[in-house]
Amino acid sequence: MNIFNMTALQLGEKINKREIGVLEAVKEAVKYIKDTDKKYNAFITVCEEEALGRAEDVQKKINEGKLNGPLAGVPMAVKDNICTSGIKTTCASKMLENFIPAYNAEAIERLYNAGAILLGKLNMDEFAMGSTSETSFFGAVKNPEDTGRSPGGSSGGPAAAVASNEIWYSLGSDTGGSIRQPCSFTGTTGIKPTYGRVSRYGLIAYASSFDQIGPIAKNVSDCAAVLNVISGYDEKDGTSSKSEKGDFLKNLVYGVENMKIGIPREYFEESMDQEVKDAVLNAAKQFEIMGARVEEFSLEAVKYAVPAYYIIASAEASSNLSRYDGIKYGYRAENCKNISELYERSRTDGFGEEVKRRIMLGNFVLSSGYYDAYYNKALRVRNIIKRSFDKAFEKYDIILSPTAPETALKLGESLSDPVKMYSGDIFTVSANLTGLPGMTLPCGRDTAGLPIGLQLIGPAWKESNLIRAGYTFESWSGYREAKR
Amino acid sequence: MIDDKTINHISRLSRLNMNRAEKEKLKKDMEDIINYIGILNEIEVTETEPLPYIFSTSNVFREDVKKESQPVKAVVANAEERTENYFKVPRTIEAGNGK
Repeated sequence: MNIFNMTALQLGEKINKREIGVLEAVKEAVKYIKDTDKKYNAFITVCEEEALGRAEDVQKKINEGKLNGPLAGVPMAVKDNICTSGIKTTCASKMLENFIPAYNAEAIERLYNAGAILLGKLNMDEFAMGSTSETSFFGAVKNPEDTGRSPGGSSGGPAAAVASNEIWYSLGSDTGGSIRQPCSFTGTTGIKPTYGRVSRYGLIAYASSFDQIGPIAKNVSDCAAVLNVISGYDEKDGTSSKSEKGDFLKNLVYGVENMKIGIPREYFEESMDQEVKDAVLNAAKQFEIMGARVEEFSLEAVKYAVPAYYIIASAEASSNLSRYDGIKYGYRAENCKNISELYERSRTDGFGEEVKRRIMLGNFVLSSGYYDAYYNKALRVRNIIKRSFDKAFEKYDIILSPTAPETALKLGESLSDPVKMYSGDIFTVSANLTGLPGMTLPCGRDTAGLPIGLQLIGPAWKESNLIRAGYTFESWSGYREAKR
Repeated sequence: MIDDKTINHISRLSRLNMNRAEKEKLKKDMEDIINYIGILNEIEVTETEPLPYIFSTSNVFREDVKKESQPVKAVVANAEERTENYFKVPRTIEAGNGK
């Protein structure tokens, strides 16, 4: 029985029926990671010992009937900006190279309670700032689809670990597309939940008004199962929502009849790869054939989304990252004469180039004389974009677009031109500016054989729309199944 | 637009102390980025309120009840320099300046 070809829910079922032991699955998975990950560098830390201990505990609870959820005993791994008690959480930065949290993120706590087995921590862009996973202090992640290419970012490790079958599912975080774009580049499926759906407690902050944790998996069903576990109100996060949680597994229903899908005209006026455009429009046609009503419409102001996003995200980052002072935790420069020198040298040596660039940009747009011209203006643009989406969702259940304008990029080609790299986020950042839920799933391949991602955005708290439409499309098209 | 004075000012605000070469590169990058975000000047915004947060607009209060804190030892263990349960920092008040 090859457990690596199974989805998370399939493995969970076998474990639940005791056809496969948890310890057996964990041991095989750890061995596979050790053999395979040299090629991809998706893992920063593999926590074998903790995983073996937890496996025995979870198996015992399954045997006693105390654990019977669909993901009990299934191994997983999480992005290294999600705090894990007693296990290094580095944010892929020299700054946090030796940081060991004293607590678990709420999402981790909930997964543990559901019987998840954490196998390790996954590589990413430093502090989640980047679109290629090349800014990691621990070296670039490589795309399992083509190791000469980037898996995207910033959740490149979580996407690569699922795409390579090293792990059954993972958690990523999405501030401007950091779950969706890597999924698009690696042929995996991911959800950025509505802002406030999943607690941010224990997620190391980048841009707090955008950050959301979400699942990356082999298909829509697995994503729904993981989202079920991690979502819900948490008093430890002041922006956590009390809105109805629901059971996302119940949204795995085939059929999109009467669903209204809008395609923003403006998105297709942006420069994008012709093969990506064709595949996405073809997917739209498939939705029509399956019974949905699909039409083009005008989504105003979206061309301002990326600049507004980078202003606000950098501003929030400059504030959030001011906590790294070299004293309480994190990298500390040696032999400093006074406290100012300690702050400056610790931060200058501890942060990488892209992180410093965003701190500088953030402090610039917040500084006296520029605040109104940049930061405040970007917040007003954010409101205009939100209204534009609100208006669209009076009419549509889903907005359909590509996830990224291109397929996976070659390693080493993106970092030298930040503006070009930022503009690749054109389709994803709006969901963060507006707090809306977004999903990405594969919808084809280009002539080089690289996966193309389809993005679905829904109204606030309507992940159900995305899951139903995504499930239907996936069942119909069978892209994932065809590949593995 | 981004001159040496601005870069030095922003570096100070950021508590970063980069060398000359790094600063030159940053100056160019920031100029490119600021040119790029200049597109926002096209759009009329005066009629629209700024939107710093999407959904929550009110503060969240809780009862002032004592709860267990994180284990002090594990928290302090992350500091590079410490004495018992204290963080160690360089002297912040210069000695011998008193009159």
